[in-house]
Amino acid sequence: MLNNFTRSQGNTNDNNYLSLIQQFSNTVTKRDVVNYASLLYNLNFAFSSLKGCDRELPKILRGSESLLQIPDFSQDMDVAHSKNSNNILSQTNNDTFCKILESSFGSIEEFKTLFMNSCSAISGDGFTWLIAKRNSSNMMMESLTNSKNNLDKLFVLNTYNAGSPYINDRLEMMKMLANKANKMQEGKMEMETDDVNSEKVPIFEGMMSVEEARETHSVDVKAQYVPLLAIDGSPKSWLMDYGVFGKEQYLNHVWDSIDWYVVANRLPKSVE
Amino acid sequence: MKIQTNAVNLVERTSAYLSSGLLQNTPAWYDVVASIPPTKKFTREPKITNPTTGRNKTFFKDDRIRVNNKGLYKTRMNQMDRKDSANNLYKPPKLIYLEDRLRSLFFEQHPWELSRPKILIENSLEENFDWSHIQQWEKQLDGESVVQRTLYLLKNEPGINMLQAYNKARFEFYRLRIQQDISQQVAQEEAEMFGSIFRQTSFEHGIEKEQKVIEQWKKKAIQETQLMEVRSSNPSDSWAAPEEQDLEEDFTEGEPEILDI
Amino acid sequence: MLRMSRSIITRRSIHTIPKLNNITQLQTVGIPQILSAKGFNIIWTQTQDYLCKKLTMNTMGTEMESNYPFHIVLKTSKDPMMSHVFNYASGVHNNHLFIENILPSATGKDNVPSKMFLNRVKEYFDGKTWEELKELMIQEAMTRCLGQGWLFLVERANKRLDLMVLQNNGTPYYFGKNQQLDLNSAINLDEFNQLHDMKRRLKKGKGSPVVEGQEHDNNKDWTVPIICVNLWDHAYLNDYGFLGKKDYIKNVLDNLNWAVINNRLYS
Repeated sequence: MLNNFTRSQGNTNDNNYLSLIQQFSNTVTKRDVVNYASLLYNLNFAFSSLKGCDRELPKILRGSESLLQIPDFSQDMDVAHSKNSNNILSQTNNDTFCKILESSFGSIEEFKTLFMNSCSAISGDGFTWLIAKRNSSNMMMESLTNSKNNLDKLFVLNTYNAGSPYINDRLEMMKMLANKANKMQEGKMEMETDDVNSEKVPIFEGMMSVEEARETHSVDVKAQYVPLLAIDGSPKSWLMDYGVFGKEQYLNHVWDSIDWYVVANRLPKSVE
Repeated sequence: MKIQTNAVNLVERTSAYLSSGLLQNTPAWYDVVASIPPTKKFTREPKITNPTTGRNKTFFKDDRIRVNNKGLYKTRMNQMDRKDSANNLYKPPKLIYLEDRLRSLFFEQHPWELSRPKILIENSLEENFDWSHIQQWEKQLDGESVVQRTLYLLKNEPGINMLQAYNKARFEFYRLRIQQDISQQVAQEEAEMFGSIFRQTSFEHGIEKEQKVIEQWKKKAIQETQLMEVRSSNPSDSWAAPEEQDLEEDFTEGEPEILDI
Repeated sequence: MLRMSRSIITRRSIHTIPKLNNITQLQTVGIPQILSAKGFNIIWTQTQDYLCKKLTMNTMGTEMESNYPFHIVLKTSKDPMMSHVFNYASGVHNNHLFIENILPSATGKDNVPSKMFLNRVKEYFDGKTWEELKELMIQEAMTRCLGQGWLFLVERANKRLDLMVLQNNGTPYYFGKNQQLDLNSAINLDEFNQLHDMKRRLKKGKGSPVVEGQEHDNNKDWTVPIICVNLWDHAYLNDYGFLGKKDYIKNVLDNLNWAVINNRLYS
């Protein structure tokens, strides 16, 4: 099996963590609670989609020469392609899932490349997720009438440290803070009116900066995102068993252990 | 005319000067020129075999089997043919390498690979890489890697043909490029999530400036549209004309501002 | 002779692990009271090798190929597209700082903080003693670094001492890449202001400077590291386990090599 994880895992229900995360995600005072709840949720989620594989842990850890090799998870593309798609299809018996993977990423092989490379590129702690976008309730009414709009896309997403795929209104939080900061500054200005040099600089300017625009458009706040699959890329999960140079090997083992049946069943019904 | 040999005997003469004490210090170039002395042979020798093909160039091309454009067979060489082949004896033959063909094929298929910056200063001299893997410590991944890897595969993998070897090397190259690109993007995203602040890129700078102009234009456009609406609802020429003038003035005033940016 | 010089020229462009004086001894016994031999090999022999090799692969053939990691850190810190190179360069540099200040001291006897250091600590940390400051450092590292990171005691341009907890591979040398915030979870108003201040400083050279009285040159940051503690899993996971981070930081801070640290302090 993969890893003998020694981190203690509580018996609390996943839903509890989730409600905690959603309720307090923007509250600073509850930050620690949210962080640990989120970490636990992510970890549980990642493990729930694994079933183990028959590969053995490496006996001899890899050295630096392995960096020169082509990453394992994208070797032999032609062979892997048929193998992967057959594998996923046979495990899930779910044609829709394979189709939606292919329509979102081009092919299953492309999905795998993107997913694994995203995870291996995380330098610190973090998870890589496969998420499905689900339209929110008012959009649902529309989509019910127009069935072609139903089919939405799957995405690959990285979260770092205790980031959660459920929190997507970071911009809202930033705006709220900006308003607060503006008010504070105005208050300060009135206090120090004799200070000639103090120039009034509104912190949050009317025009959107490129950065803000990018964030607004990359995340559709109205839509809901449903995670299907997660892989832990943090050093905690691979360092001891696979060694400093072994992250790619670890990812390869994880890929072989994914329980595609569970993953496919998480696909929201409205998408199908 | 006598062949000028003075220049070629430079090293000998300098040695003589040095030993006789005419020159006190050894010139800086002395060792270098002594180790690679200038050639003293001035006769041109015919180059009979082409090193690329290994064929003898003195053979006349046998054109007798071919029919010419008049439908006739050529039975013997004319003067032109003979002259050309004699000339060729002294020309250095064209060297054709497989690498060159692979290179031109690769860069024809991937023109944007040429746009990647490449440093021309050579810090390292060793070029003996082990091409059993496409990545090297002392060399960045580029088109040349694909070419060298293809050659390695051709030599070392039994039963592989040219196209297969090239494709294999090419796909390895793609995989590594994908990996590089994704790790670049992920690192950037990760850095931003941990509170890194970056200098504006030139793109962002440009977009921001452009946006300012667009917003100015938007204001003016709204104003103008409103005026047009008013005019169309009230088609009296007598007071539409001055309005128009004002508007033009507005615009000429606005323009230098825009250019300034 | 010629061959010798050749190999030196070739090597110059490859990043290799910096040589430590008593490396064989360290590799067999580790660093007493801090790291076991295996732990030392993971954090230094392997991780440093990994970072060096990755840095080499990413800078080879670019204009940075013959630069030192420190220069690469500064060169890449302002360009978002170079973040991956920055990460490796900064990791190499920080890890070297870390190992340097935990190496077993050669003299043994006078391995104590200098008087000047203690005075400066007292001056800038509200009269705290070094022992109290250690407590504070442990607490800061435990609360502010959820994942991977670095704990730094730094000296600002005006000689003020400061604590810094950097996320992932942040660098103490440049404010824009300190990576002190974790935007993955909620942030408070102060942290937001800090972030915004940095942005404005970078854009217009306005905003409050790190050091008072340095308003004219806000984009420069003259922070210098004094004490560096590695908070990555690579450093402690093997010897201390998942729950041993606190013990590990305490051991490091108790067994610092003061000859190195006293030298780093500006006098």
